[in-house]
Amino acid sequence: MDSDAKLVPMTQQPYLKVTEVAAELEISPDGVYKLIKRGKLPALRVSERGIRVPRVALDAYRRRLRGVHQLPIVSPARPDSHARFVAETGLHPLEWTQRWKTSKLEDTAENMRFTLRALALLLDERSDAAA
Amino acid sequence: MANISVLLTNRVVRWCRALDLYGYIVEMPIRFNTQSQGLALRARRPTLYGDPTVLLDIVELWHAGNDPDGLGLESESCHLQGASWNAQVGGDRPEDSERLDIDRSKADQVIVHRHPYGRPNAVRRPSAFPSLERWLQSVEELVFERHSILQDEKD
Repeated sequence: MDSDAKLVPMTQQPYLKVTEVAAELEISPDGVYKLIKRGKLPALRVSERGIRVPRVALDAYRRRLRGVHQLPIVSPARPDSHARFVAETGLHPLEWTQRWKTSKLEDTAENMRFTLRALALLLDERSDAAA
Repeated sequence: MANISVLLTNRVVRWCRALDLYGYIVEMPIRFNTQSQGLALRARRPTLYGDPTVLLDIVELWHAGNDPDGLGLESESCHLQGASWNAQVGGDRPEDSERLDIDRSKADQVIVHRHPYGRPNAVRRPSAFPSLERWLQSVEELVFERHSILQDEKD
């Protein structure tokens, strides 16, 4: 990383030392350590004495300082449905969960998400039946 | 008394704050369905400075009542019935993924498990359940490792 610093302009480095962050924010290195300790700025310990701050996290911190937040508005999606689930997977949610339990479906991230959707749909079904 | 709506709102806000801290952009709409008692969100961080791209897919399913397996995954009188936190780091292959799952159809010791980065989907490791903030930090460490390896390969 230190040898990279000679080759890559500081503005393009993906990870910055505490002294570099301090220079960019125009505060002392102690001030940067305080931000890290308070959880305002994520940092990585890369060696016993080495700490790096991801530049994307520094960018985000500066945005927050300017009052520009990336917090999105939470908007409910259209309700999930059995029909949509079947169209996407070819299986009824109950059949999907049974196949998942018996390891007949590959344990991929996408299939795990389908499983959680299937469980939610089955729960809705039970709630509707109880009502 | 279980208050799933409050719980899900708090979870979404907590996720969004933590994701903002690490510079992620949360994509809308966040699926947040109180009838299904679940939340799903996607966040991404493009390559801006040569660091690897990261795509996060987060799904959580909460039910009213205590944790049936005694795992203590509880909040607001509800328990986390299932979850999948997936981070695709630097690619879209299964091996480019670090995933934490809560899957109650699995044996007790692997209800909470990881699919470790760099390994095929079939590989599962029992895991403690971290806070979302701790998990995001561990993803950040992974991104840094991946970046360092790529830099070494270039050199």
